[in-house]
Parts: sequence; C-alpha cells; structure tokens
Amino acid sequence: MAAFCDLNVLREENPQHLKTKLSMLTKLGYENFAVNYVVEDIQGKAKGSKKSKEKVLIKCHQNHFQQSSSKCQNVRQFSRFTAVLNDSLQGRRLHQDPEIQKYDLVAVQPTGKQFFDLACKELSVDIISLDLTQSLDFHFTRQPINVAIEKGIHFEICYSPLVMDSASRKKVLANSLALIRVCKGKNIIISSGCQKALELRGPYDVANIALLTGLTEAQTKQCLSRNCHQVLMHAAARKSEKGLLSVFPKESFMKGQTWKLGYVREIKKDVLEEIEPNDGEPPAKKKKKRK
Amino acid sequence: MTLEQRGLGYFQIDVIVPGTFLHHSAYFSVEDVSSFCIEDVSLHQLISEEFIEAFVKKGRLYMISQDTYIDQHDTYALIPGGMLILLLNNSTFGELGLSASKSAYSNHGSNKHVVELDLTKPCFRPGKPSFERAKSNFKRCSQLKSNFLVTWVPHDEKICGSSIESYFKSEGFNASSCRLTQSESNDPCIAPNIAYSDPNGDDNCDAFSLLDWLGAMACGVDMYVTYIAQKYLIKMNLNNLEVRMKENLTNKTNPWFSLTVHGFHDSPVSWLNKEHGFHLHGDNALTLVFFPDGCCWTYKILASHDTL
Amino acid sequence: MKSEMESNGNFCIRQTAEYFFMKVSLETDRPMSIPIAMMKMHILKALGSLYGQVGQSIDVSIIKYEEASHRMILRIPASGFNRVWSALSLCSSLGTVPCVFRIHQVSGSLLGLSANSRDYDFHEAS
Repeated sequence: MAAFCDLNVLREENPQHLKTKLSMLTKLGYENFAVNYVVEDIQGKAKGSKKSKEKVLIKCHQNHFQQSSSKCQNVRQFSRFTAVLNDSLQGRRLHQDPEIQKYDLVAVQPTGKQFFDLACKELSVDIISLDLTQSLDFHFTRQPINVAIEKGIHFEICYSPLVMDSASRKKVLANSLALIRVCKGKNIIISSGCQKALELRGPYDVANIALLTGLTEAQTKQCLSRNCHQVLMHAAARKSEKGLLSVFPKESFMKGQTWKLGYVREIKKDVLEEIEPNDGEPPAKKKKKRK
Repeated sequence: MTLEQRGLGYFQIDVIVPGTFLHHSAYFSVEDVSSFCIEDVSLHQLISEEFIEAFVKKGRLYMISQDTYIDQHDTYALIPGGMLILLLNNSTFGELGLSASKSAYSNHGSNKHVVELDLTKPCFRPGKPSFERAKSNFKRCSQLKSNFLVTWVPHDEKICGSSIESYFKSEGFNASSCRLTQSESNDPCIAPNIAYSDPNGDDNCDAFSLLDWLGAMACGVDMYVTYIAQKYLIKMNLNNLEVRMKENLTNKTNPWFSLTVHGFHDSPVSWLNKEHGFHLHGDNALTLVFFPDGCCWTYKILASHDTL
Repeated sequence: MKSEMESNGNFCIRQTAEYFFMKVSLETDRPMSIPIAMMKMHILKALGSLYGQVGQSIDVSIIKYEEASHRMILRIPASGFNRVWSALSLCSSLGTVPCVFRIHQVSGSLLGLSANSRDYDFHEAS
C-alpha cells in the first residue's frame, strides 16, 4: 500500500481556489495529486496559454509547501490532461501533440461506444474517465476492457457527483456497478473531480463510499493508493524508454558479492581483464540490468 | 507478566480509580526516563557497531519512526530486545534487497513486507556477511530515513538514560525533547461493582460493560467520574507505577483500579510483538484492571489487521 | 462471545465489537448553532436519504456532543457501521447550508477513541 492520491483536482481559473483545494487535500491526508486540465476540443485549445498556467500552479504549490508542517514533506503534484473524445482523429492528435505529452498524465473521456473501444484498444493513455453522471448509451463488454487492463490503463470513478445530489448519485452508482462488474474491480481509481473544497472527503471515507460500488474492502483502499501509483508509473514508462538500468561502481561490491562480476565475465569474455578484482585500472562502472 | 515484558511503546496512559478520594499527583510523575525526537536518521546509522554495543545491548531501547503511517509509508521500529523491524512497501522492498516475510494481511489489501533484523545476535557484527549486507543495502537506499522517537532505559542504574540523547547530538542530529502533558479530573462518581471471579456479570457488572464504562470516562462522556489521566510518551518504566498503585490498593478503600496503555497506532508490532496493521483504524491498547488480591483482568483492544 | 481456558490457567473471553464508535465533527461554511436534538435529526435525515427506512432503523446514538465545535462521538451497532459511515460522508448539506461531516477516528471500543497517535503532536510547544 502506498500513500493516498487524488488524481483529479480540477484546475481553477482562480489560483486561490485551487490552493484551498490543495491545502484541504493535504489536511485530509492525501500526498499526491494531479491538477486536471479538461479540454473539450483539442483543436480549439490555445497552446501558448497552457505553459504559463502551469507555472502559476507550481508557484502556488510551493507557497503552500512552506505553510504546511513536516507531515507534508512528501507531497507531490502532477499535471493531467483530459481530452473529451468525440472524434476519432483526436486520438491521433493526442499522440502527436508535444504540448500534451508534456503533461504528467494523459486521460481521455470517451463519449460513445466506438470511442470507448478506441481508447481501450488503440490509444496510449493512462486513464479512461467516463462521465458516469450521464446514462451511457452502451454496455460495458469484457473484451475491450480486458485489453485496456492488459495495457495498464486505469478506469476512473469520480466521487464528487455522489456527494452532490441524489439524481446523479443514482446514475453514478449504477454505471460504476456495471463497470466494476465487468472489470472485476481491477484497474479502478477513485478520485474527487470536485468543484469546491467542501466536496472533498478523507481517504478512509472515500474507501468506505467505494464499498457501495461493489468493490471489496481490500480493493477500495487500493483504488486510492496502489492503483494510483500504478497510473503514475505507467505514465512515467509511457514517456521514457521501456527498461530501467541501475549502475553501481565496481567498488561498491562487497567481498561476498564479487561472484556477480564473474557472471559478467562469462557473458562478455573480452572485458575479462578489465574487471579482474586486483586490476590496477578497472572500469569505474558495471552495468546490471534489473528489469 | 509485568507490563514491561508485554513490550512496546506507548504514548498515553490513563489511570482510572473509582471512589472519591484522590492521591497527590506526584505519584505519577515521570521518573528518570526521557523521551525525545531526533530528526533525519538513516537506518544504517542505527546498525553501527558503536551504537549497538553502547545502547541496544545495554538497556531497553525503543525507537519508532514518526509521521509514517503504517498503511501508506515505510515504517521502522527498534523494539526492546534489539529487534529492528521494517515494514516496507513493495517498491522499497525490491530496492532494498534484504530477505523479508510477507505481511500477514497481504491478501487483505496491504501489500507489505516485513524485514526483521536481530541486532543483538552474535553474528551481527562488522565483517560478517549479514551485517555487511544490511549496512551496504541500507546505505544504498537513501529513502530509508525518518524522524524517530527515542526512549532508553539502561540496565545499569548508574547510567543516565539521557546519555543516548547526547550521543545523537554528538553525531550531529537535531534532538528535541518531547512534550509531556498531564491532566486530571476529580468528580464524585458511582463506580460499577465488579468482582474478579465474575467476569460474565451474574451478580455484578460484567467485564465488557466495565470496558465501556472506562471508555466513557476516558473520552469524557458526561458522567460523574473520578478520572486521573496522564499523557506521557513511551516511558518504559511502567513498573513503578504499577507497583505503587498496587500498594495503594491493598492499603486503601478503593476496590479496584484500571490502567490503560495506548500503543502507537502506526507501530509495526503490537503487544507481545505480534504484527499490527491499520485498515480503517489502528487500535492498539491494553487495559489492566487490578483487584486487591493481586488478580487482574486484561483487555486487549485490537483492530482488524491484528494478530491475536 | 467465545470463552476458553488458556494453558497457564488464565481464563480468556474473546468478543468482536458489538458497537463501533466514531469521532465526528460537522463543518459548515458559516457559523451555526445546532442543538443535540437537531443534530440527531440531521444524521437520521442523511441516513434516510441514502438508505431509506432501513437506514433510519439503525440505532445511532450521540453519546457526547460539544455544541460549540460540533464535535461528537457516535455509537453505532457494528452491523450498520459501514452504512452510517457512508451516509455521513455523502451528506453535503443541512437544508440549504453546505456542510461536511469529517470523520476523525473510528474504533471498536470507546477506550480506543480517547487517544490517537496520528493526531498527537510530540514536539514541545515552542
């Protein structure tokens, strides 16, 4: 289990509002949050404005940092881009636009069956966030969802409509029950997506609310912590190369570990002399593939 | 079994005595034990030979990492007897590369690994593989550090318990002493009648109702009560308190008294070094109700991620 | 309830919690005075709006209430615990006033509520 995350804090025009939301989140015990920038139409997006806005966020984040106590030392903020998907061309734009790829997380909000399938099967995004307050005009089927789960894409459920009014509460509960029945509680994240700081709830409260959607007790807490971290990892992996490499200096090996050097010797005979333990001028680094 | 043997640190003690009389509160003053916080200690500094020889082996040392929540973060504790316990998240565990057992609650949503190192083992010293391995791995994982709460009771009574504080200060750590608070309330009350031999409450109040009554007093629910509460930190030296209260019991008129010890909610082990977890709550308290003839009822209050 | 004799002659009774206790405070966006009877009514209303009559039949009692800070301790039967919790956390208004119930601590025993190491400030006041 890892620290609690809220990966959907809606961006506000007024930085003060956002700041109240973020400080409320830290007070409630969340440690990672993503500020969400929702765009209805990618083409219509004003490119230049985005960068300046992000700077404002980072600034307010730092201000906030100073006020808070030592308990908030590990607080991290991410940026998230959500595109409403109502045109299959937009998917391609999502991949190509370097501005969008600068965001830490990329999410899509499909508006129909074909876009949902497209997002599950073809797009390389981190989160699929359906608008669960509307009645969906399609049924969830296992096949595209399984493809998405295999690719590490997570499905998002926002809890703020549950808090707000009972009409949307019914819709959200019905839709998320259907979604969770099909994906069997795997790859679900729960986030706030709220307008006001008063709509935010503590992580244990949210875990308890999530029981209503048919998740088990163990899954509910994972939806707020472990799954969110998997999203962050998935995003990092999407941007970077496929593997990780850790490099140690040869001197860091203890006496009992020199057999590892011998293992390298076997695969690469021509470096045999160079990595001999008593060698005068050894190469400084040895590579070890981890994953 | 004395409270000390049951082990593990606590941060608050409540003493509840029925009846209207009240003894002077000097009874409960903290004697010769001090708790303090040190900042930014890396784990490899806790397994240095000098530290183990001077403090771990020469007294009852209790350390627990601060501001680390057991269901979210990596948590560390050094418990009396020289056991260093690390409860690690999956990623830290993978990076650390020491052998660990899976947490008993890994099927219930906590994907945790427990690393246990016995610092007092004869083979745990420099030059031996287990020691060197732990040391180099701790050094490599730079995130294995935290603020710690520390209490030390030396076996040798001539040594002052605060010498560990000066050790940490000389090593260049920031050390600050902990806040001690004490509160008392004294109202006439009607205590329930209980008898040791009658826990099911055939003629008297039964054991579980008593627990509710004690809880109601501790939370300040409106009743007429005599309540002495004292909050102080991981003081290991409970025995004095226990012995004095027992003396009081044999001499005076009060029929029983209760002692509640609140353990840390985020401690990796609970009483008797059983694994402890935090699902929705992390209750970790022990209540003892003493009777004049030396008998006692023991309540263990545990949460859902606790081993009996 | 389960009774058994331990090997050392001690008698041991195990019981799962019958009641859960919850430390709650009500936050509103403007100062309000709410007497205890009103508070009970609001809690029942919140239960009713999510669970209907079945929810309202859960025996919730306020065993401690501070009117000034709107802090209270609730006693809830273990069977209805999750329902009361979700009803309280999904409640977003008292009539027209936006509000939120903040759940600070839950416990299976009242004694467990009297201390919380997560809220405890260990540093000396400076």
